Amino acid sequence: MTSTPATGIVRCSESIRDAVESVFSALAVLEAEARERLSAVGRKGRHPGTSDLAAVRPTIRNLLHEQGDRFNGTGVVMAPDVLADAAFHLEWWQRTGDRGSRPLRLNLDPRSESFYDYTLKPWFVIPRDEGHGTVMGPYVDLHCAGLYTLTFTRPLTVHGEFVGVVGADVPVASFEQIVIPSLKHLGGEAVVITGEGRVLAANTPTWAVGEMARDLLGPEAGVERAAVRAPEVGWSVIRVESPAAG
Amino acid sequence: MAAVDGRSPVMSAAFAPLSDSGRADMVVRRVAEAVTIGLMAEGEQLPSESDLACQLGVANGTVREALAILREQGLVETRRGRNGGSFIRNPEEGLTRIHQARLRELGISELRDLGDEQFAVSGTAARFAAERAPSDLAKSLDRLITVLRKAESPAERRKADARFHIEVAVATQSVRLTRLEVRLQAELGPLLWLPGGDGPDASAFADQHHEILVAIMAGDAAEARRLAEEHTIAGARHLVRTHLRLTDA
Repeated sequence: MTSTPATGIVRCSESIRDAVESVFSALAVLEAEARERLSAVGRKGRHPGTSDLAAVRPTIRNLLHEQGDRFNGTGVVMAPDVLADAAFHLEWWQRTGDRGSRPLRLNLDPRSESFYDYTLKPWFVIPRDEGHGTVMGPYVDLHCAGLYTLTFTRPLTVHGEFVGVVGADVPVASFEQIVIPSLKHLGGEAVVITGEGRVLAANTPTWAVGEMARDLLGPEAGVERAAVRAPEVGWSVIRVESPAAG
Repeated sequence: MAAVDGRSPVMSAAFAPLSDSGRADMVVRRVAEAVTIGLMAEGEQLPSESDLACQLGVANGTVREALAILREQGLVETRRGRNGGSFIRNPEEGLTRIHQARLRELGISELRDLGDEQFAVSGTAARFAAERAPSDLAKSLDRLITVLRKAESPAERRKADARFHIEVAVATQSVRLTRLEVRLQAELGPLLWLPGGDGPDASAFADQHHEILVAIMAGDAAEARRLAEEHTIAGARHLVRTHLRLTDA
């Protein structure tokens, strides 16, 4: 496929990019707040601690409230030994059924056999090593609420130095509500795949969400395709041959 | 078809008693599951009474009741004072007796039924995993197979076995299948991996896991399902054999 993609599919990819960017721009507020809290302590010549980070809780609560069902959880995850009083630490809150929220507790004791080493997770590694945001998933998150999730994270830096990530867990079921209308509008049979070739959404039952569609990864696959131009994702919108027509 | 009290069997199944009648028992079960499959380790502190109540969506009194049962079963120890709280205790010894008794008491027909459920869940999980697994799944499954081979206690074998099947279920991208597999592993695992020569041959199980892994990574859905189904039959047969031996004694 060598022709320039048609306007329709480009517009569709743009609306998906906007959906991605809206999550990251919602996180910008939390990022700014966390940076301010941590650097304010630094200005006083003190090493920040867990209690300094706890000051971002009202911002987290607001974010969960504002975003409604779009966010299942959000917060800050710290790089090792950045805080004076905890080697590993996170300030992450999840929605509860009654419009409230609760802190996510993970086993962060490295001596324990069930230690949750988040420094190995792609949502932590990519922002740390590559300096940009990322979206991981869709995947079944066993450690949190047993939810089918997309995890959005971006680096948190203080004076240019990586100190952790800010992020949000977005249920696939709520994210697809933003994506499906534009896929439907595109018409025909169309699929959104992630960088690893996994189906994120489709306007047809031919492609099951979560299945690997590696055949669609090649630049020649599909009738028409457009990349989702957000730096955090390697997603593509692909129009496929309708089986009824073929 | 015989109808009971004018209701069809299907109807009775639909109106089976709701499980939240024993909320404290459910909390006990959740904690026991987390320990059984290795999500919580010995010495680990449980969340506070009110946090636990909030997380599970039950009343504080229910959690208090559940903690009392867990203490009685020897699964949890509560310490007072500044560094106090409820902690996971090494439950293996106490639990072995409970699980041996359970395997003795369960009927062969009930064991077959449990095996049937495992057959459905693990077979389907392997099939979908073959279609949906990420390419780095082989690495984590391989590690769990090695752990199963090298494990020195039945508890370690049980956890490595459970984690293998749960990782496969996670790879299906299905939250429901994953939940079913977690429940099944928590229920079946301790009956299967009994100590004292009552457990299955760990290296044969590791070989079967390896075959399943190869089929999944090759994307061969039908073969992955067949191998996973055969594997559950081996497990179910082992349970029946052990049950027969235990009831002999």
